[in-house]
Amino acid sequence: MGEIQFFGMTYEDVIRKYKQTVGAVCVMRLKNYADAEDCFQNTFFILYKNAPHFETETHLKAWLIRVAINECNKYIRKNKPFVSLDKTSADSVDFPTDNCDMSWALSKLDSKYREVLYLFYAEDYEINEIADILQKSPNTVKTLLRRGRVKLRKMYGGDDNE
Amino acid sequence: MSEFNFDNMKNVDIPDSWIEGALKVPKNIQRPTPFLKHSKIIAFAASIVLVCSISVALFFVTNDNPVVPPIKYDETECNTFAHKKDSTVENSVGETTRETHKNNKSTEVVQSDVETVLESSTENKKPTSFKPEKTEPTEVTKPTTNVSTEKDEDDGRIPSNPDSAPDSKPDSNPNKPRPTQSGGKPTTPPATENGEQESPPDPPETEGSYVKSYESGIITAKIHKEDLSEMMYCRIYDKNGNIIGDSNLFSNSKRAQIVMESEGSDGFEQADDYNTVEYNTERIGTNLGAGTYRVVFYGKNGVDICNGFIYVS
Repeated sequence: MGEIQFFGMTYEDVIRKYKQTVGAVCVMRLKNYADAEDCFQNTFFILYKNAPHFETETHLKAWLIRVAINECNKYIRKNKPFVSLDKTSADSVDFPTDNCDMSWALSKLDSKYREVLYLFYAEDYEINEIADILQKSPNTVKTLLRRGRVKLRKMYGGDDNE
Repeated sequence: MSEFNFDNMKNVDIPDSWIEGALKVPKNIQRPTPFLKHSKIIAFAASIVLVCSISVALFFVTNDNPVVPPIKYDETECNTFAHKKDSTVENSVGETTRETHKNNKSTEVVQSDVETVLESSTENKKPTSFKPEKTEPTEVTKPTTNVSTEKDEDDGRIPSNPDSAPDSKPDSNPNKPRPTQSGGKPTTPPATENGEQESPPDPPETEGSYVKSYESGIITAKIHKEDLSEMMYCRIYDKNGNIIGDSNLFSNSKRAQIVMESEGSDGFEQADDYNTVEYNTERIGTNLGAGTYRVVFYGKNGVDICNGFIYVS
């Protein structure tokens, strides 16, 4: 495995550096640790297998997020008819309720808002970058971001106009 | 929302088992190179190219008739070709005549394109090996009354003309296959077992224009009224096919004169449809020596009206 290098990093180094980002995306998307683990491993396996050429490290990170979202979508599409309620309740992610941390509220949102809000506020991506990662138009991203904020305000008992 | 954060989500605890599972990848994994990524497409394209090249090669190797570019005829060939196409055997004078160009009345041509028009005006587009310069007098049907008879009576000599089929009669019927289709030579009747030639059937009356006579340096032709052009020209070829005199198709030296309006007074029923056109060979500027010459009358648009042979002794 030592032959693969990404900007001076080995494959293992890439995993350790971006494990939090990829893992968070998978958990946020699937809200289930067991399923998130499969998608997490598949994401890095695709990186190792294809070993694509990246111009920048930022490109590498965006690529990992994009592949992780695709793997999660694929997993959901593939296992949707067979999801067990017991399993879901056992491995589901429950973020602690915190007045300042909105992770729990974010997990309650629909996935399309959750992804945009997470990438915008947690990963500090620009709207155009989010649009590239999610393969959506910037206007769509703006709309999703605005609607997601409104929904979060409602969760916290705020008004739409606040 | 600056006071809010997503720390819990960003700091999701990733167990080491996830990392270990991600590190357990097969060592001998085959990574596609940029070339091999499209190997199937490249192989497919290469196979098509290979099949096409083999097919083309086989085509050229096995083809007995090689592809040749369209033949471009020079002026002489075009002329001879047109003459050949329009040639028929004239019964009385042993001259060839041509049928009327009824379909070419509206053809507008320039002088440089005369040969092209001549070629396009004919029915049969494919040239043959006919060469008027190679036409020997012996190959033409027997000259009779107007020329040979006069020559015989004048100097008592047997004209150098032919010959070959003294009893053969011309056939200018357009509905009948032309005897000059094969190399401009008149068709000879099939030989019998005794080596004698059968006499041809009686030909129908001549309907086309034809060269009638040559006398005292004047060539006379009977031109059908439908063929008659406002300006008539005449060109004379020697036995080698060379033009005698000016080669310009429409020069004054080539001008022929329409001398008479036939009114049916000569007793022929079809005379009403014919005009007499004369051409004085002195206009050429050179005297015609003894021999056989080919005469072509054509109109102002360069279309061959009729042609035939004259015999000068």
